[in-house]
Amino acid sequence: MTFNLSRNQFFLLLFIAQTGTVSLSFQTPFINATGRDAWLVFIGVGIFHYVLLLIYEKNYQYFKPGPIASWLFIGYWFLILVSFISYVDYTLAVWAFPDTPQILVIAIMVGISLYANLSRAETVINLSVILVPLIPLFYILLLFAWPNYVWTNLFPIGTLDRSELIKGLLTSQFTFIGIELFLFFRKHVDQQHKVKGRPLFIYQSIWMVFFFSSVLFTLAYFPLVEIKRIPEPIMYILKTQTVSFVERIDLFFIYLWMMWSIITIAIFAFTSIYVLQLHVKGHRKRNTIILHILLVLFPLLFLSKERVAMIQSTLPYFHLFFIMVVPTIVILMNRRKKK
Amino acid sequence: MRVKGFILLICTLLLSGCWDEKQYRDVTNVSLAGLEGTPGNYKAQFAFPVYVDGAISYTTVTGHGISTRGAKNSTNTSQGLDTAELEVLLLADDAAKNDIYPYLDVLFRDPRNRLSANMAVVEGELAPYFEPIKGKGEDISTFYTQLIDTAARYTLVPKIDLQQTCTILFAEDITLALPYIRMDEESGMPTIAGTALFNDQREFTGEVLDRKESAILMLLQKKKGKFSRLDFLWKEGAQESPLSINIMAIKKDWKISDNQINASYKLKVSVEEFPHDSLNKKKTKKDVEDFISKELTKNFTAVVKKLQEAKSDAVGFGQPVRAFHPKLWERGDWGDTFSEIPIQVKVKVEMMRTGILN
Amino acid sequence: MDDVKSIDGMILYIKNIFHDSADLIVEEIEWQKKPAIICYYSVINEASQVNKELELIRNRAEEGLLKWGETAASTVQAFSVPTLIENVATGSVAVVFPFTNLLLKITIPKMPVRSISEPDNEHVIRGQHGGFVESFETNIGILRKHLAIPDLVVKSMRLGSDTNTLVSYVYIESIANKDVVNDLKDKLENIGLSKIWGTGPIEDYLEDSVWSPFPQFLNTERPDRVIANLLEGKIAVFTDSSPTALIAPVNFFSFYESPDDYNARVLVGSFYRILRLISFMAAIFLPAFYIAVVSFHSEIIPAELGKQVKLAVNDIPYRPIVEALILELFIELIRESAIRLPTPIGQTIGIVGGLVIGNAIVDAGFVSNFMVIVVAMTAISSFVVPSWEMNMSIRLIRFPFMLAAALFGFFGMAIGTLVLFIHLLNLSSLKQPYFTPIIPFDPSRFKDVFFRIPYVRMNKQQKTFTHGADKEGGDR
Repeated sequence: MTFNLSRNQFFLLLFIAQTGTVSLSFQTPFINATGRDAWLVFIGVGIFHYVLLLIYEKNYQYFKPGPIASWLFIGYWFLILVSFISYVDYTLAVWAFPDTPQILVIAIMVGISLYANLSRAETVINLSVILVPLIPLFYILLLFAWPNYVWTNLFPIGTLDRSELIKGLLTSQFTFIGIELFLFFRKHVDQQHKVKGRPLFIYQSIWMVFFFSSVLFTLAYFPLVEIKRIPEPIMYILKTQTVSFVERIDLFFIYLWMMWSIITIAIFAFTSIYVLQLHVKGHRKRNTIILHILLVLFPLLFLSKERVAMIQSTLPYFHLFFIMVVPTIVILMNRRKKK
Repeated sequence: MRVKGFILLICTLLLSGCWDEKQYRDVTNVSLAGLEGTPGNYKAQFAFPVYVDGAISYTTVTGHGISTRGAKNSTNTSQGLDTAELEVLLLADDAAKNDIYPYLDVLFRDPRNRLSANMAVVEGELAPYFEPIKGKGEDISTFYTQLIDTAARYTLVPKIDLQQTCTILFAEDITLALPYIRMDEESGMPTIAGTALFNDQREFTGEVLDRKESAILMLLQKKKGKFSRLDFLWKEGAQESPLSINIMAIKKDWKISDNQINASYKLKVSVEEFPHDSLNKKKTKKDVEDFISKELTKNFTAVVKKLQEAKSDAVGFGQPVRAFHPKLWERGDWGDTFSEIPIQVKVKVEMMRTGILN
Repeated sequence: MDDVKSIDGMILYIKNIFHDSADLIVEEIEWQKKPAIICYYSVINEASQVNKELELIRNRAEEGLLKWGETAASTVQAFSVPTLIENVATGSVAVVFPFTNLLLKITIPKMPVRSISEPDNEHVIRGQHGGFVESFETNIGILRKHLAIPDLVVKSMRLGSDTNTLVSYVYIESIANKDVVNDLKDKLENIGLSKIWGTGPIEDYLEDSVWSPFPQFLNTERPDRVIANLLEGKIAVFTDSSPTALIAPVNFFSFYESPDDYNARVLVGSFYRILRLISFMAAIFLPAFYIAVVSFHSEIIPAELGKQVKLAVNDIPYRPIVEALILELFIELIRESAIRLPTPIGQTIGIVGGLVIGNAIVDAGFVSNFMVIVVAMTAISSFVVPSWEMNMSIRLIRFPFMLAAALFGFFGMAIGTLVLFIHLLNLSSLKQPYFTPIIPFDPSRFKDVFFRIPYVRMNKQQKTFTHGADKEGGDR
């Protein structure tokens, strides 16, 4: 697979991969772990994210994963995919489809990803454009709730102890999922487009504003006790908003979020197949179909709330390993080789 | 082969039907729900429109608990009851005197429910409030919606929907205050009587602020509706003159120390009615400003006193305390601390406009 | 005598080739004391002009000019039967000289051609009112008149063994992409169809995906549209027998551009272009949205409206999807019948169908009046598209969406949207991306899609409103 990315495409791809399912699911566990300090912790997390991006940008040329690392990554992405699909399906079942067989909903969602992945590579890459007009729209709707945000809810700060902090940092890793795609796709970016410096900073700012404001809004809207009861706080904020001709904006949002998640799923599936193609030549179609069949079957094992929670809670550990440890080893090995 | 498979798939889908379909014509939307009774013995009442031969009429049924599944008549009506389009939820005062969250849980847990419904506490039995109102048609839920909305627009009662109710119930630093509705004895119509105060155990305290007091409670919260009118009687020697003002803007400044709260308010007002006239004179103007400031300080203090006695921090003094004054906050239960701490209220009025007369 | 006999035999032979058609003229004439045969169809040749031309050539021949036969309207070829057939069939006069084995071809056609008129399906308010006609010469003539440049290239070929239709493609050499031109040429040459009588069959062969609901060629009868597209580097395909030009490679958004946009003022043009794109959304999603709301998500209807909707749908015996299909069928029937009927009756049918039956169908309790509003809105929105082909496509696409909405509500619509989007991303027109500038995503080009950008930006004009100050404008 050879393809070329413009700077805009690259960052859009990265953004959709990093947000997607996580945009709705991460606030509650994160705030539950860190309490009112969540927003403060998240500033720190944001800086960490930026540093990570800078390191990636500096070393991406050396990132040439061998077969072992590639297979590890594919396995990890598979875990992410299964966790996303089961989470989306569980949420959809609770919010909208209590009676529809879950396998059907999963099959339809995975089917879309399959359709996209059987098309040309550019299709998956540009798929996220459909979200470009929709995401700002719902962000504005969140701002409509402004009068109901109680800003004193953000204080007092500094009540965190170390174990809570570590737990918070771990849960905040959900927002990083997908950052590893930077390493894989960076080399496809048009050489004439500058990524270093300002463009990277703009991307970091958008990422930061998106997640940080979602944490901030959640904290300001709900008292801590209530957040513990609500798994998808953003949905609840939207639930009370009324625009003149439609009520229940949350209903629209959940389907937008579902589309968003499907696209994220398609992107991860695409990346898995892409990395697979680096080492196993040929049979792209067959491999894509096999991957998607597995994606229909595996999430069926994780359909209850506890199992969704279980798979969610293990993800950050895997994730840290894959964004820090594996790239470091691969980069160091390649650097040494080069010397 | 592919085409055949596709047709087969479509047919299966069509035959298997749509699992979660809920045809609009098959649901009856409860627009007004009420709750009374004591724990273990709830009685709920629902009002909903019935559509027969192209006309709307309204019916009520009773049931146990607010979940419509418990509604006794649910099976009797031709269509299932659904609270998805609930507009108003009324709580009888005896029911509200218990922790009210358990009643509401079902409304929050079901994704179909809309959380923008209004809430109010009513005095006495529920049944009379569900009777059709003379001259207002049978559509009582719209009547209550309009009643509460208008009152909120005139800064009489807080505009609180279900979601905000829940949020405030769970907040430790502010307590709930809901519109209080009472049967007017003369007209036999439900009217806004004031504001019902809740304590931090999520129970109705039984204390009710009257209309003027609840308007002041709104000002204390700095939550002004579209209009906010206050009436006074101006005395100068033997001369008496009605004086009514409209509040244009409020500025609040709370100074919190560990053993006292100083709340000072600055109001910008315009004069609506003042037959005494001659507001162009500096002295008169100053006198009127001072007079209103003094009166309002008195009123504000009285309302705060009443809140303290009811242990109901409906203003939200607890919010900055919890955020910035941990020492005071950690003294104990905020309800108790609030009722004991001295709160000094000071109001300063500035007259910005005098209408088109002097 | 032998000569005479063989000439007679030859005439008979030629008559036989053309099956002794009544309009065929095969005669013996005298040419420099020797017999020759003239052969042509009387209905498509200007006989008197041919006589003059013959006279001219005869004089040239007698003067002994070397190239006696080469004039503006004639040429000399070696004689063979296929050449003869081709020349006569395509409307030339053939003069055969059996003794020198030459064939003189004189082309002075008298083809029956409709006069130029405004195309009925592509009206504009401001702009050119002439349209193409069913003639290669006239059509290319119109183009040549507007594009007086040597770079305008016309290539022709005869296609279809049974119809022998003249197919030509036009492009501007300096602007059009060579690969695309070659691709089109290959595709045209490989058309294996024996019968071609319009642009329809050609379009099927040229399209990259025939089963896609979206047209991958822009069909137009308007010269200004063709010229604007040629200047953007596109290729136009004409057939001699149809006034329609096929333009490719096109993208999705060019179907939403009308020549009116560029004749109107900038703001007005932009406004209507955006309106058309909104109409695309409405035409596809509106009925599906209504069905989804009424069958799945009734809780989103505001309370006041809810009562009205409920009142309307409460006594309808059918599911919303059936209701919608009844009405859609009804509207399609009106539309289809209105095309067939003469214009004055067509309007009557519109009124009877739309108003009378529409009202009665609601009163009878077949469908709800909200559904009538929705379906009528959809129909109107779908007719906003300036291209007839796209209009038909949109009318078709909304049925799967309605079905999806009836099965899964908003979920079905969201899935349908994704499928549609992926399909559009995959689609290509002459191997060029159909859904640019979304694929490849290029935000800087979006302004051309949604707005009609002014041609000229003022430069070197009065720069300030302040009197006297800085008349020439600074060096900014």
